[in-house]
Amino acid sequence: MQAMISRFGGMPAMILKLVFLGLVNALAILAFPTMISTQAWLILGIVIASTIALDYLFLTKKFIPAKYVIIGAIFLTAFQIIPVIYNISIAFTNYSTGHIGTQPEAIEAIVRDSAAQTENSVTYDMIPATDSGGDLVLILTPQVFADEAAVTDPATTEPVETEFGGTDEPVETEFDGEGTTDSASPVPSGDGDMNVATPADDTSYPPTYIGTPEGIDEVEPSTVQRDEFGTVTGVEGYTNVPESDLASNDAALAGYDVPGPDGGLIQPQGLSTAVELEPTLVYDPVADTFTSLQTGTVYTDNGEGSYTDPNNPDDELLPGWRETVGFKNFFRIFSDPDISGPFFIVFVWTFVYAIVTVLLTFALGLGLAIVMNKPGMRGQRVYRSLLVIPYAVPAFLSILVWAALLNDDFGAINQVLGTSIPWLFDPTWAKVSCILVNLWLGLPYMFLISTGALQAIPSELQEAARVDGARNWQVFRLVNLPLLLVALTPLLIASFAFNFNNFNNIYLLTGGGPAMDGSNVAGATDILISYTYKVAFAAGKGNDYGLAAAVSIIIFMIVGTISAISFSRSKAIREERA
Amino acid sequence: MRRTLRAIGLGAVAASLGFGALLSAPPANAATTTIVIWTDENRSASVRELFANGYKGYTVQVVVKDFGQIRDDLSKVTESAAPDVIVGAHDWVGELAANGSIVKLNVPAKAVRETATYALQGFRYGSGIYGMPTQIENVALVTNASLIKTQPKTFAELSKMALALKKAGKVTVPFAVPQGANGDAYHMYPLFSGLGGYIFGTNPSGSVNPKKVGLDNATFRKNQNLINAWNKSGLINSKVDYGIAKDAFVAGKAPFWITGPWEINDTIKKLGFKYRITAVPTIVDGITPVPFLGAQGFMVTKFAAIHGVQIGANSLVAEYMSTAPAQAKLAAANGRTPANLIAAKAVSDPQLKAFGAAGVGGVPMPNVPQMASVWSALGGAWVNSTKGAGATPAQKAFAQAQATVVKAIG
Amino acid sequence: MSATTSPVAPVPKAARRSFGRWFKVLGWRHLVALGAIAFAILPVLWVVSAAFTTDPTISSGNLLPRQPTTDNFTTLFSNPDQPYLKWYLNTMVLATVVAIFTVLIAAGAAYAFSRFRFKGRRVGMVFLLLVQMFPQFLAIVAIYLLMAQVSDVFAGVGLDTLTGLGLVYLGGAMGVNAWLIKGFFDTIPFEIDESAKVDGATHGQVFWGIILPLAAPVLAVVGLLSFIFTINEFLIASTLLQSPGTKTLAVGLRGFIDQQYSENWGPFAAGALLAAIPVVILFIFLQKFIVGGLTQGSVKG
Repeated sequence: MQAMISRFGGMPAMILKLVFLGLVNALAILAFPTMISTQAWLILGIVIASTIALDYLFLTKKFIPAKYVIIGAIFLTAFQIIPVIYNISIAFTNYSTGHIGTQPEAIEAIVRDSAAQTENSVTYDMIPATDSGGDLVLILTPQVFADEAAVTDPATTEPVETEFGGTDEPVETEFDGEGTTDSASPVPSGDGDMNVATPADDTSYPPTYIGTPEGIDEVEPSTVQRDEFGTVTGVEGYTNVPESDLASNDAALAGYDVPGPDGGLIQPQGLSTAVELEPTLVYDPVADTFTSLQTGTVYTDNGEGSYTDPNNPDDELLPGWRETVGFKNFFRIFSDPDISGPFFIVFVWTFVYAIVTVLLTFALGLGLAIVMNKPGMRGQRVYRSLLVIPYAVPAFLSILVWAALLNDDFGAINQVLGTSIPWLFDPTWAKVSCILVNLWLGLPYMFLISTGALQAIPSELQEAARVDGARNWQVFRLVNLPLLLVALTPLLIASFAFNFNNFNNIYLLTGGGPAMDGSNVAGATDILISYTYKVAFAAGKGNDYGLAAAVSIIIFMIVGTISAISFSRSKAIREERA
Repeated sequence: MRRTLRAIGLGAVAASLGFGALLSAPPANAATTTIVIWTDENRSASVRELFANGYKGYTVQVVVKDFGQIRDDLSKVTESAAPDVIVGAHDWVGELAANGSIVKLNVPAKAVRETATYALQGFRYGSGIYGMPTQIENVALVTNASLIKTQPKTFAELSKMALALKKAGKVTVPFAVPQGANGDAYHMYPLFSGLGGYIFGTNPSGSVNPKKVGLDNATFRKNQNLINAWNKSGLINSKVDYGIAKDAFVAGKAPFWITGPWEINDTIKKLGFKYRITAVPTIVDGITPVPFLGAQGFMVTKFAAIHGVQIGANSLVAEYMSTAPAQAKLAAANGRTPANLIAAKAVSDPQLKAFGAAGVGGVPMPNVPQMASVWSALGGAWVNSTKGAGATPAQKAFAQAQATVVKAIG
Repeated sequence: MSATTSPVAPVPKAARRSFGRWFKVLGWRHLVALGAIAFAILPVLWVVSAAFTTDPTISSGNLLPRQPTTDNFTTLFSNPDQPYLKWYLNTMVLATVVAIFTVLIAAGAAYAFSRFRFKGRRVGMVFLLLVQMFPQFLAIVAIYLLMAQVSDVFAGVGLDTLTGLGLVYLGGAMGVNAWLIKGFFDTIPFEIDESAKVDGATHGQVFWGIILPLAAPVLAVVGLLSFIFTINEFLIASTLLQSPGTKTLAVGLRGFIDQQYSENWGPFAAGALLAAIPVVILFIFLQKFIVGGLTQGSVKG
């Protein structure tokens, strides 16, 4: 044994450790400038704390246990604890559809979206060009169309009944009905430009303007260059911006405002279109208000992440922004009857679902592990492998398969059993189905950990018990089971918590349905987490992350309390043994 | 001694690596001239093809995402990874516009004239249009012509024929309307609308009025007993989900099927029997059953301006994707009708044309941010009233759905 | 529940016994096993059937394909936009590496909790489990934001990298696993390490040289669980991975069906089936560690 373990000590281990720490430190130093320049403060904090902790713990002789926990703890902090803290912080905000950005972003979006076409607004064909001085200008020509509608909506044609052959190609189209169709004669699409007016003589061309930040100037018609269709292609004295330079002029074009004839600003809307627009809302940065230019309404910050009309709080400018709202989300959980009403029923079912699933799955998994754990039993390995297969199939797929198998009228299970059990459409049976499918999903896990844990039971103990004359069942109950429970109780509690929040199974199998009488949202198989999902993401205005976070805190308090109590009881078991 | 050794080793390794890092300074940020487009798998090939050589001097980068993921990821993406243009469905517009994630477009007049009006209206939210529709779709009634020799003129006829076949044991599903445990308002909408139901009313100007909820309106209430009758006779069964409906129809075990043009290439054209594609026949005198109209299109995100490609992205979406040639290419790959009318007229696929004809008078799906609750309430009411034994009477189910939606709209 | 892990030596095969006796000792076990397997396998049969059916639906309900075809497998390997082989490789490498590190991290924590007595030990252990009970609603958003920041600093381990995804998975390495391993460590008598320490072994040598080898069965279980978890994990992977080249199987395959109404279950089932094979092989391989310790009596103080 000495020889075996000496491999793991001495100088090589020391060097390995130093190389590892060197790498960690180098990486941290390497990233330092970038972290500061990109203002990645969170990462910076994690990196500094982790580096110091690693350096210290691996170079000191003290805190031996910490050496074994530190790496796992760093990962745990970064990817589990920080997300939880984030989650908690969200619960006190109004983070939801319409409130996802910052206030400056919202102001910018409101201003941007408030631009509307002026009363006599004209849409211009636009060519970005440069004048003799090299300054950017816009060549603008109002868009004009021929009077007759060149395009008809196919939706105005009469519906027809056509019978198609059942072969790969629909060879003949028989008509069965009085309708006629032009289906056989596809209209040539042309180049899509067919309805631009092509007037006969120069005089009917619309005027062309040069737009600059000072305004628009009509140009002498003779200097306008046109192609064969009469479309303006340029103006003498101005150089069109070549296509290769358009991209680099993007920002300049985006900020290019030409005062228009109708009192608005002609602004590029693309690379070849400009429209005269005027704002409909004006932002006053000093008063922090928006004023509508049409109605004169003043919108003020309502303190909840929106600009609203104080006289009519429902009149809200969108988007709003993310704002801290204190305990508002929590109050809503208790005051909104749609949320709090079915809460208790849902809670009870969640509890039953999680407990029954865990106990049943564990009992069966352990039972199978014991049954298979018999020396001399042939085919053990094959059996075990087959039992693990369900675990290897993505749960997402197998739950949907179960839903299909359990379909009341068309599913394989009722057909094979010759029954007509309403597996998914009856509230009680749907609950049974949920547990059944969850049992199927969890069985390989329980089987595996039970098989693993069985190996940990010293055979001496069993032999000793046997010598004392204990029968099989007594050996199991008095020796094996207590030992197994010591090892597995924490896992069972974790499993309980997992199933308490087992969103996927419910969501994919029943969607929470069938509907529960007296509730608009909750279904008979909804557990707290799927119910939360519905309330926060499917029952209101888009996604309410703030509310979801608040409910998840409450769910955590419930499941955490139950688990903590169970732990304290299992602790008693441990101490009995010690 | 040992401690010193440690310190030296540590310092040496750290210093060498750190020095190396300083030498390899990060590249300077070049001004972006790249337009990033998020698209789904279905359209990725044609979008790539359209912009293989970039767009007017901009380079175009196509990122493929699962369809629903495009919407979800847009609300949490960081600036550096964000798209300038997305491909999405028109019913996302309410949520995305309310978030300020997508920007208003001033669609060129030519594009307005060439685009199906309702498709463009589908992308309207508040005072503006937030996307350029490129494809439209709607469901239709597909009939097995070898089981049903003459197409029924009324729904009562349809019902009689279907139930007779079922009684004779020739079919297992008399009328395949895809539903399932959570319902599917999109597929059952022709029946719902044929009974007088609607989701939102319209303002005098023609725009959607979400305050006028029609899930339980007077006309519909008058006809709701038909739903109870269909449930009782077994004509309609909400346990028929999408897969069951499709399987049954393909196997000749369902005479009627409600489905959409996405099934044309893979399923409908491969059917082993003759079939017809029509609108759902009239259920109640004076009311034409109409399907929902769905549109998909291109939208410009708020990130385009931040990335300095605002004008290019606008141009790509409003000036280029609105044109017939661009849409023809896109639609050809995806098997849906182009929203551009010139491109739509040029569609030669007779099945696709038949689906288009069945969509006449259809209703664009509303796009308010509260749609999720509308879908689940309406779908749930239908499922509950057509789930066979123990079904909730339609009167009760839809009254509850109405209350839920009214509350959600607020 | 009448019999249990009795340490009775294997009965010689040649021994003649009546069927009744055979059934009482072994036969019923076979029956129970077969029953459990029937229950376990039923939905898997659908997957197999769908993998060999053209354009199946989730409700096909056929447990045998009518006209078996390998089209779905061809589809998997033919689309360069959906590089199945690359996904497969990504997943296997990722799952293996994550499993190894998970075992090491969890075993380290378990060793500390099992062999040392320090302040905050109990609290720490309970905390480990409790923190994982927090409903992970918005964890995904937080992880995404965190990794987006990481991307700006260490591009190689940020968004859209398998390394970054692996690091996130390691966040859950301790939790339940540490408990499971600790339970096993506790059954290894303390006298073993005490005597090694008397012989001059350091705590590191005891951990690597004595405890870990003795705990092989439970380490194999934890490794397997972690391996399977990585293969099936979808939510985090789909949030962090974007380009086709970096996807894992769970994310890539979902692309076949996350399309409104044009769900492509055939290739999905075929892909899932192929993905299950390494899991089963790994299990068969690990079985001798998991069950092998039974009669060897790992614990010989």
